[in-house]
Amino acid sequence: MNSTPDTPLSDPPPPKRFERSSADRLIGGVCGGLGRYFGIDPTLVRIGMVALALLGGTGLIVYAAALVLVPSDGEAAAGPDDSRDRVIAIAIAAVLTIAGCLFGLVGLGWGLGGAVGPIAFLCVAGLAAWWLISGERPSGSPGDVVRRAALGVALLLGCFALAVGSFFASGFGGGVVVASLVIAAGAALVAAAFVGGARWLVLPAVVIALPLAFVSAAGIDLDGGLGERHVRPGTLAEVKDGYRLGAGELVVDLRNVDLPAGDRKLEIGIGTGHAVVLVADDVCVATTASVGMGGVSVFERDGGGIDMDWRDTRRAPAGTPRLVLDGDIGLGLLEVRHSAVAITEPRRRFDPDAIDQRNDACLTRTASRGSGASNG
Amino acid sequence: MRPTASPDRLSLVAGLVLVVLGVVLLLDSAGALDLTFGSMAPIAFGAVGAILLASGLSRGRER
Repeated sequence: MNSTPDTPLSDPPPPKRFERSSADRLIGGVCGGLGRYFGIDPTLVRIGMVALALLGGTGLIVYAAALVLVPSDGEAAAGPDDSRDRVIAIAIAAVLTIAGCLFGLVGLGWGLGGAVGPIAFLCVAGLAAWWLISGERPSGSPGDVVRRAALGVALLLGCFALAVGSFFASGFGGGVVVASLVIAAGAALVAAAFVGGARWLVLPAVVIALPLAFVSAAGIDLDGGLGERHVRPGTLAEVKDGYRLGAGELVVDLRNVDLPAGDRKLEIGIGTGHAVVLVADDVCVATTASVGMGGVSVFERDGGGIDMDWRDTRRAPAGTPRLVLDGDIGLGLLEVRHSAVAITEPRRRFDPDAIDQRNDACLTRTASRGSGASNG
Repeated sequence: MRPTASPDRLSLVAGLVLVVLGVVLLLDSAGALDLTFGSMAPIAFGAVGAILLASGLSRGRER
């Protein structure tokens, strides 16, 4: 005898979906959603995510990817313009872009190996950037996600290229042209405000204006070439009045030059990079420098910061040669030392007693020089 | 492009800010000004802040 159940057939439960939790969220609801999906305590998921973040940073990438790819369970009610999610997306895009620029998207040590990590990073940053600019959430079909990621990556790369181009154009003396482009874009925007349709100009105009502002503030002058330049004159006649390098490392080695007693002026200019002046042990060095952003290290004395005017005008006893150095550093470091080997010991704060140990030619008469003109 | 009843707030503010910023940068590039980080930072941050503010206000009005 067959029997049928008396209770009516109920609807099958809806398929289980992984959604970010809007009720149990600390940042974006990813861990809360994972805990609900797998039926485990979200706190355990959070502990695991933090552990993954600390062990190579994989947890950060997983979290960021889930944040932009996985919809929230409150998405339908909140609509696509959930302001909190947009703020988080802006923060992620900014952090990833800055990290990518700082570390060159290579060798981040995220534990994923090879190019997988940087590419994943770039794609997530692209999705977040596209979300920020267009308002299109990164959820949807795989095709839509790929399209938005590609558009976002293209946008980031385009902005990066514009910024780099603006930096070098400004540094090489094209600041007037770049500033004129900014003014033209601004004027076009004002005109378009009354007829509509040119909001897209805001982003490229800002992207080219900010590097120019940085170059102007730091006083970066890239004229003089790029790369490494090592100058090692053998006689006094070969020493020029000044040396300049646009970007890179400039080393002026004067240790083989027999400087006569008295002052010898030398100008050192570098747009961005590192300038090193090497002098013999019996040469006293007086230094003044203008630094946009960076530092100066003269023997045991050093200093750094922005908009810095360095002044270390030491006197030399009679009969001692004194090198009067005038530095113009846009972004970087000016060093003066006796040895070609970089000083690796920890830097000390200014200690008057330590001067004798490093630049003692300024304080003691050098017997081998004999008598001569008095300095300073 | 078609004429609109009222000017687009974001485009108007961003345009004016960029024109002012561009003029300041042009004067510095031409040697008439000598900008430093101390003077440039408030200008740059103020410019970006004004554009973001205009963007937020215009977005709120469009809703």
